[in-house]
Amino acid sequence: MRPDGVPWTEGVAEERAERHADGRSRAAPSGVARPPTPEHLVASRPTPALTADQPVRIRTTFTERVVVAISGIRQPVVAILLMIALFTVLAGKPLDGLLLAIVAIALAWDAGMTARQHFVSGGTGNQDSAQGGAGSAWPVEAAWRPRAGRPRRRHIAIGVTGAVIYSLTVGSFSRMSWPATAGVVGLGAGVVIIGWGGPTRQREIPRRFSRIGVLSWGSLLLAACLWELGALLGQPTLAQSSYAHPTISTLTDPLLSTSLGRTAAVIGWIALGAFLVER
Amino acid sequence: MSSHDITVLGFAIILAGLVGTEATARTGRAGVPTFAQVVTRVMRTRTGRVGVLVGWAWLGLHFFARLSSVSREAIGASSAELSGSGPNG
Repeated sequence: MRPDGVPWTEGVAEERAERHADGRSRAAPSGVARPPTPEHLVASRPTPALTADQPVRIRTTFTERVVVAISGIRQPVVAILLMIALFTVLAGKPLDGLLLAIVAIALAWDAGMTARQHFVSGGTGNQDSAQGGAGSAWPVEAAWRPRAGRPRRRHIAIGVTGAVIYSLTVGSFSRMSWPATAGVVGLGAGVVIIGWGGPTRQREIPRRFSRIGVLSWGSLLLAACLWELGALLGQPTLAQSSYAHPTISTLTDPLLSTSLGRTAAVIGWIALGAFLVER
Repeated sequence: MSSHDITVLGFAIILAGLVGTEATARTGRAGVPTFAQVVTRVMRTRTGRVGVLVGWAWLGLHFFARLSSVSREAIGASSAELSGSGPNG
């Protein structure tokens, strides 16, 4: 949120980008993400003709929008989500896949627009710099100020208690039932919305990893994906499991068939979510 | 060794590799980042952050919930019962 009460949104970024395109002001140093302090706003908006209440948007045609969205698909996360959406649909879950695809396309659009704005403002079009490069712990577009340290013990205790109650409740429902679905969808959507607003905790962002670091994690994740894909394709059909070629889902089915197993798995899922939100 | 055993062994080897990589990374000598560092790096942009969280939400949806009308009556059956029956993905 900006000091004048206006949300720190894309519209403002577009406003800045257009000014740079007109040559009436200079771009802020790229790759240096700073909090939206008043000084920062003054430094990046020296032109008095446009005020904060008059955001100017870049007008785009439909074709340009499509091109922007396609350019965003180059982001690895977007490409992975689209692949998951494709296989989810092929596995007989069209609605799940459709929702995932919609989110992936929205992310592609956002990534494409961010890169475009950065390009217009005189940058390289690299989203890494546009959204806070290495060393930045406070992205420009964050909707709130991330806290500096760990949560308070009282908040942790409340969170753990809530997570246990939630897990016991969801775990008590039949798997794939509508009450369980409502609980999972509600929590998942809430966490994604929080993620869209920005990081909740201030952290030092690691610089680029060494080649061996990328290879070690990348090769293992790729191997896991290919092995799972091999098992999936080894099934009689994509929607029918096989004992001879079990996928991870098939292997976890016995665990998730009991209430206690589901409760434990939901606790693990929530713990993973809390770990990710804290990144 | 059956194809079932080979498939499970493959997953076990990959899991052991992940654990071993994390253990190596925590020594701080091999130049390998920890899993937390990798995730932090990936989630530095809004695209990465939301994408990872959507992936997490999809995991929950996949294992515990159902939006599409696919029958999973075979869920909870023993491994032997799962042979050739029960939708999966």
